[in-house]
Parts: sequence; C-alpha cells; structure tokens
Amino acid sequence: MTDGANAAPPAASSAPPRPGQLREFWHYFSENPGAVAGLLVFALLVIVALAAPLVAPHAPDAQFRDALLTPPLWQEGGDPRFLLGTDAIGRDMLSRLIHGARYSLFIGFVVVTIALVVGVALGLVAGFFGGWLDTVIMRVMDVILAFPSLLLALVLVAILGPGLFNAMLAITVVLQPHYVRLTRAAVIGERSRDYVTSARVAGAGRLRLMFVTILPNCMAPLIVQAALSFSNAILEAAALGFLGMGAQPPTPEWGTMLAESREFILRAWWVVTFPGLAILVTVLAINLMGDGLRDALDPKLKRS
Amino acid sequence: MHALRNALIPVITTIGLQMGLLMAGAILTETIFSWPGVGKWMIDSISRRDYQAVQGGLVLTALIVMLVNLVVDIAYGFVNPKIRHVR
Repeated sequence: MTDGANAAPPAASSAPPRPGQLREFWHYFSENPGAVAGLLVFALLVIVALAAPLVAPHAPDAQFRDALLTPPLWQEGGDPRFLLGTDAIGRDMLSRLIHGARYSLFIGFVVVTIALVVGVALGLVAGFFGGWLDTVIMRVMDVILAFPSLLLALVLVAILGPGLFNAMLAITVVLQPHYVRLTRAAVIGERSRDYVTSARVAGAGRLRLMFVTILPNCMAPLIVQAALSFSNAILEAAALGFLGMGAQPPTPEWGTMLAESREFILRAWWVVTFPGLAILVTVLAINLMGDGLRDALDPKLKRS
Repeated sequence: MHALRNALIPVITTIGLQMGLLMAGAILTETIFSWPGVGKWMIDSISRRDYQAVQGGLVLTALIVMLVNLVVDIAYGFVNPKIRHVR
C-alpha cells in the first residue's frame, strides 16, 4: 500500500520500489524522535548480541566462588572485575545480560519469521479463495484468539515439555492469528481492485496473482505488526522463562535469570533489577521503533 | 450524557480485550506472591503433570474471556440503541 496502488499504473504493483521510496520512508521515520531513539537502542542491542563473546568480560557461566553476590561497582563493596555485580553463585551479571540479549533477540527473530511466513501464507489463501477454506482457517484462528496468549503458550509448553525451542514454538502459535487476520483483511481489500482484475484478464495465474500482484501491496501493516510482535515475543519468552517453562536455568535468558534470583530481591537488588531493566529497555525500544514504522508506512495514520 | 454514551463504545471494547491480558497477568502475579488462584493452581498442576487440572483451568479461563466478550457485545446495544440487531 505504500507505493500507492490507486495512484500508480497497474504495472507498478509488480515493479521494483520507486527510487525515492526509501528516502521518503526515512523522512517520515526520522520525524519521530522516539522512533529514532528506539532504532538506535535496538541497533546497539543487536551489535552487542552479535559480538557477545568479544564484549562480555567473562563467560556467562563462569563462577567466581570468592565473589558471591558482589554489589555493582558504584556501591560500597563493589569489585572492579564485576561492573554490575555478581549473582548468588558468583556469575558476572553484565556478561550474563550480554549473552542473554542473544537469546532474547534470537527468540524474537525466529518467532516473528515463522509466524510471518505461515501467517501470510494462510491469510493469503483464506482471503484469496474465500468460501469454506476461508471459514475453516478463520475459525481455527478465532479459537486460538479466544485463549489468553500467555495461558495458551503456557499450556502448549506444558504439553510439549519445557525448553527454549518449545517455548518459541508455543509463542509462534499464539502470535499466528494476528498475521493471518491482517493478511486476510488486506488481501480482501486489494482483491477487488482494478489492477488485480487487469492482471487476471492479462492471464496471470493464481500463484502469480497471490504472491506477485497482491502481496506486495499488503506488506505495510504486516511489517508494522512484525516489529510490534517482536517485542511481544521477547516479553512472552521472558514470562515463560520466569515461570520455569522457557529456557532452563543455566541458560542466561533474562526471564529465567529473574526467576532464579527472585528470592534475593531484598538482600541484593541488582540480581533482580538488571534483567528486568534489560527486558524493559529492549521492549520499549522495539515498541517505539514499531510506532515510528507505523507512522511512516501507514498512509492513513500519517500526520500531515 | 450524549457524549458519554458515544465515547463509551471504544472503552467497552477495550475492557473486553483487556480481560484476556488480565487473566494472563494473573498467572504471573499469583506465582510471584503465592496467591492461591487459578493461575497458581495451573502452574502447580503443570509441574505435577496433572493435565486434567491444566485443561480445566484453560477451559475455565477461555470461558470467562468469551463470556466477558459476550457481555461486551450485549452492552453495545444498551449503550447505543442504534447498533442493536433488528430482526
């Protein structure tokens, strides 16, 4: 929808993006200072996560038995070796947080990719063919939507068995219906447009109509949803980890770190606070970025 | 009065949508503070491999969410008579 299907000639739907499109997008995106800040923080997180073994001062599971529950550097009793202190069995908090960023971003990336691909395929089929196929797919998605998301993910993990991979699978299933509904709504809106009819008359096959003619014009809301559910996936994975159903304890995943250090909240605040802050900052940055994306990509919400 | 009625519609919709989030949030809250609610019960049942209890809790929560959304749909008619379904 970004390249203005109503203004452009019919062939524009399958043509490569206009040269000025990226600059126009950046113009609208950079108008929003929150979005740019979110993008910067997110980029920083990705770099830190990719370079985790180089950036982190210690191994995430290295235990320093002489420095249990060391406070952060700026507090009394802090140790210069451990910038953010150590946890109950002497592991460096900073290193664990840095390695945890890897897990969180990996979860978000995998979940969003699978949910996007499967959701777009199902939504395209449902919206394009209609009829009983549409009814079946949409009713199944309605059933999934009827359950509170965390609850369904929890039960799925309970059935599949706890673990990082199963948690990702469960979150994918839970986030799926949103993509299917978005794609279906957009496809139904585009299907009756003139450019689709002309492509059909010109002899385009079903697959070509679906993927080459219609799909590129439905991408804007999907990209926004992908960005926003990225943070959702991280949050749910952290919640599952916190409940002991996601990544299992030695893994430096943020939710799991929160859960295993919950009992120290009164004696050693840093063990609990930093993983929580890490989740907060990541999710906030991604949400701000997603809002900026929506403002830039969605013509209906564009502010003058 | 006239403004409030019309302004209430999105508010009611949001209440219905928030219900699911609240039920999910209750699991975390109950686990943290050891409150004996449905959420804690389900978590304990999962760790005991008591799948009947998990199933029951899940269906109960889904039923509550669906009921609340039904009430929301009915409430639309009371708030704004224009969108009552006419036979």
